[in-house]
Amino acid sequence: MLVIGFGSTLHGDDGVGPQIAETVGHWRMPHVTALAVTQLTPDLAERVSHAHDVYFVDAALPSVYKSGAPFHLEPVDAQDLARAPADGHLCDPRTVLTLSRTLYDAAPRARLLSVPGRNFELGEGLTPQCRHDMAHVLAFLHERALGATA
Amino acid sequence: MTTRIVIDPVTRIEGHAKISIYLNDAGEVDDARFHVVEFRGFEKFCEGRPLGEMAGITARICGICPISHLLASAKTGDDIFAVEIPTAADKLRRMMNLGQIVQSHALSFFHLSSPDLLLGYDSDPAQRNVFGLIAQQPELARAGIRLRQFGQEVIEVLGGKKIHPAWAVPGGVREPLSEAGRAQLRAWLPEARSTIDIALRYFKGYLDKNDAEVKHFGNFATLFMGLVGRGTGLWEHYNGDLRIIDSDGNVLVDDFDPRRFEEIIGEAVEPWSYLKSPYYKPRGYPDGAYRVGPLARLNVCARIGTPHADLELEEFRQRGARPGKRVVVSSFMYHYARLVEILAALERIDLLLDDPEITSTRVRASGGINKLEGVGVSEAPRGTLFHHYHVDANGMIKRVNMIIATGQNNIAMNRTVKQIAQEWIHGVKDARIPEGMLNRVEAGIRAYDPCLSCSTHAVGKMPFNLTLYDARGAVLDQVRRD
Repeated sequence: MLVIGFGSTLHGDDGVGPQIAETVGHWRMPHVTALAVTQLTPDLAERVSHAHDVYFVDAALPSVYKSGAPFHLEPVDAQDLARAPADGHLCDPRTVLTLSRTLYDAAPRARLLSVPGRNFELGEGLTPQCRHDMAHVLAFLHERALGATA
Repeated sequence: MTTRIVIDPVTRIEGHAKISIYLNDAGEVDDARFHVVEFRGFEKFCEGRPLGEMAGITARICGICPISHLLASAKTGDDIFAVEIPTAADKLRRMMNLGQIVQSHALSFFHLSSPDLLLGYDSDPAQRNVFGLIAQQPELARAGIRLRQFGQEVIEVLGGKKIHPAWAVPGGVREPLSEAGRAQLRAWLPEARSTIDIALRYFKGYLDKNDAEVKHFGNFATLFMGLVGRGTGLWEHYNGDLRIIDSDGNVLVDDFDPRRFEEIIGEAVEPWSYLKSPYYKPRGYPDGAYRVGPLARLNVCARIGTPHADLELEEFRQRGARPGKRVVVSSFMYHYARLVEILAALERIDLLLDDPEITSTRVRASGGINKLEGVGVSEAPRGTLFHHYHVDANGMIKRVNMIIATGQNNIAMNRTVKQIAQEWIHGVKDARIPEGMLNRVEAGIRAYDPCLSCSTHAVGKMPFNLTLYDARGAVLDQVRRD
C-alpha cells in the first residue's frame, strides 16, 4: 500500500495531505509506504507502479463536499492514452496513474482521499476541524494498512 | 488606443501567470507583458521567526527546488554566525545542490519541454504533452524519470528525505554521508550518464533540423549574470563570485562578492505584476535587463572544469553563438544549457564521491549571532538566488528579502513574448489569434522554466485561456484549453 499526501505545509489546511503521509510513514508497517510531497510529479508514476493499492491524499475546498463527512473517497482510473488530459494539469492523481500504466504497464487500484480544508492562507498548522478530520483519515488508513500487512 | 491579447494562464509552468499582448491601431505588436497575478508574501511571513528555522521554512516555499532555498538560507545563517563551515560540509552541500540541478532540469527537459520539441509547436495541443512524448518515445520518457529520480536520490541519501530535508543548517549540515550512501549513488551514476548522453544526441538532432526556429526564439541582447569560481572563472553553482557580461562577451562585473549584491542590482516593481523585475543598476531599468539560469551560467563561465562537460560546452558555444563570439543569446538554448549542466553536475558528483573527505564526520561548526545582517547566495536550477536577512541580537528575523531566479528573468521573458508575437502578428485577421503564435508564446516562457511558486510564492495551476480584445476593450476571440 502506498500513501501519497500532497499539498503545501505553508498554506494551512493544504498541508493535511503531507501531514497524513508523514504520520503513516512513522507507523513503519511492512508493505506500507508513504510519501509526503508538495505537488505530484511524473516520476511518482514509477513508485505507483510498484504498489498494489494507492491512496492519494489531498485537501479540498469544503464547498465541494457538503455532506459533513470527515473525508471523501473516490476511485481514480487510468485513462486511455488517446484520451489523456491535454491541459497543464500534468500531475493530478489520474495523470500519475495513467503514466504508471502507460510507462510501466501497471495500474494499481487507486483512490483519491480528499479532506475538507477551511483555511488555505499562508501559515503553518491545521485548523481544529481539519485536525479532527485528519484523525478519521488516519484511522481509516490504519485499518487499510493492517489489511495490507496481514 | 491599443488592442490587447491575453493568454491566461500559461500551462506547464509552476504557479499562476497570464500573458497580455498589446497591439497598436495598425494591428502591430506594441508591447507584451508576462503577468504574475498571485501574491503570498513569504518574506513577511518569515518575520519574527528564529534564524535557525529559516532554512526549513524557506525550503517549503517550493516543491520543485526546495534545496535552493535550503542552501541559500543556510549560507545566510553562516554569514550571520560569521563562521567558516567545515570543508566536508561545503562539499556535501555542493553535492546536494548538484542533485537538485539534475532533478529539476530533468523534469523541465523530459516532461515539460520535450513534447514541444519532439512533436513540434504546430502539433495538436491535445497531444503536445507528456503523453504525446510517451506515445512516440516511451524509453526516453522512462529514462527521464530515472534521471530525475537519481537527482532526488542524491538529496534523499544526504538529507534523509527527497522533499524539504532540514539538513543544511547555519554552520554546516546535520549529517555526514555514509559509506553505504556513497556506494548507492556511485552505482547509479553510469545509468544517469548514459541518459544524458542520449538526451544530448537527441537535442542536437533537433537543432540540426530546426535552425531557423531556434534562431528566432527569444533571440535578443541582454546582460547575463551568474556565479563563477573565485579566481578560476569556472562554472559554479554554490559559491564563488558574481560575474556579469553583455551579449558580446564583455565583462562588466567580475570577482564581485555576491553579498554586496545590493550595490549592483536594483528591483523594479510594475503595477501589472507581483513579480519584481531586478536589473543591473548602472544601466537602469529596463536597460539593465539580465538573464540568469543555465544559459547565463554557461555564458559567464570560462569553462566547466570537467572533461566531458567542457567538450559539450565548446560545442554549445559553436552551435549557439554568433560567428566570432562566445555568448549564446537565444533563449531557446536554455534547453540545451540544461542538458550540458546535467552532464556537468553528474561529473562533479562523480568527483565528489571519489573525494576521501566526503564521508568525514566533521560537518558542522557551532556559532551564534555575530552579525545582525547576512546574505546567502547560491545558484538554483533557474538561476542565482539571494537570501538577505536582518536579525535582532537573539537571532529573531526582523526583515527578509529574497531575489528569486524567475524574477531576474522577468524582463527577458517579456521580451521573448514580445519578439515571438511580433514575428506572428501583423494585423489580427478575422479577429482571431494565430494558433502558431499561441503555442510559441507558451513555449517561449517555458524555455525559462519559470517557477512562480518561488518567485511570487504562489502555488497551483489553472487551465489555459487566451483572450483577444479590440481597441475598445471588447472581447474579439477567446481560446481555452481545459
